[in-house]
Amino acid sequence: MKVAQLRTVLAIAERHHRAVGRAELADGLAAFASNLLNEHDHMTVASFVKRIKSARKPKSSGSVARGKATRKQAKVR
Amino acid sequence: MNVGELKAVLKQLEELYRAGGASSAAKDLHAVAELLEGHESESLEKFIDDTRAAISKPESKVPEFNEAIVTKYAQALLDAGIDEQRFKAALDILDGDSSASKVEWAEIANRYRNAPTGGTHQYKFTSVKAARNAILDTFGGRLESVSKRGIIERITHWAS
Repeated sequence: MKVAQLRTVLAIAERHHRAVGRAELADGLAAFASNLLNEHDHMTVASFVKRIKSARKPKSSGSVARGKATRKQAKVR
Repeated sequence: MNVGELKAVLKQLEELYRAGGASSAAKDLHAVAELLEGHESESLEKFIDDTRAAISKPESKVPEFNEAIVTKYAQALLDAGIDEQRFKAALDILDGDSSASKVEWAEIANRYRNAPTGGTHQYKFTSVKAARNAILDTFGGRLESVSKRGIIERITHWAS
């Protein structure tokens, strides 16, 4: 499903929770949908999740990457 | 509100969809709930801010290269024109320069290919070898093109 569809699902859940008096929970769902998901409507949920996971991964340092490139270069020569 | 409460709602929605046979939607909700793992005690506001900050960073950084090295060797190769000896000498010096890594080689190959036409296309080279081969191919192509032109000119001159 697309992120836009997930936002629709969350909007329905938000209405439900607001209707039964759980305003804080409803506000939380609205915040999650509008502040985190709204700019990614065109993406699938799977790719959105993947994007967040990869953004959270610690990056390898430049010196390690450069060392790797130098070793590779030495091998080529 | 904390992240744990949002996770509980997402889990309920996942169960709802799974029970209704919408397994693909259930799977997506499960994946989103999984993103919240380990953050249950955080405030939702903080979680949203941190996640937004993480994904707003560019996904992949364009590798930086040493401009001085690139300019020096790209120019030396270009200055050699179709003079095979000068070209080989320039390439030999580049081969021996251990400070030129894959990113420098790739940029040199791109400049060498693009310079005569003013092209801007950036070819991607996965290794030093690939960039070096592209330089050799480009030189070979230029040499061939000039010698073909020379033959045609000689034939045209002879025929006229």
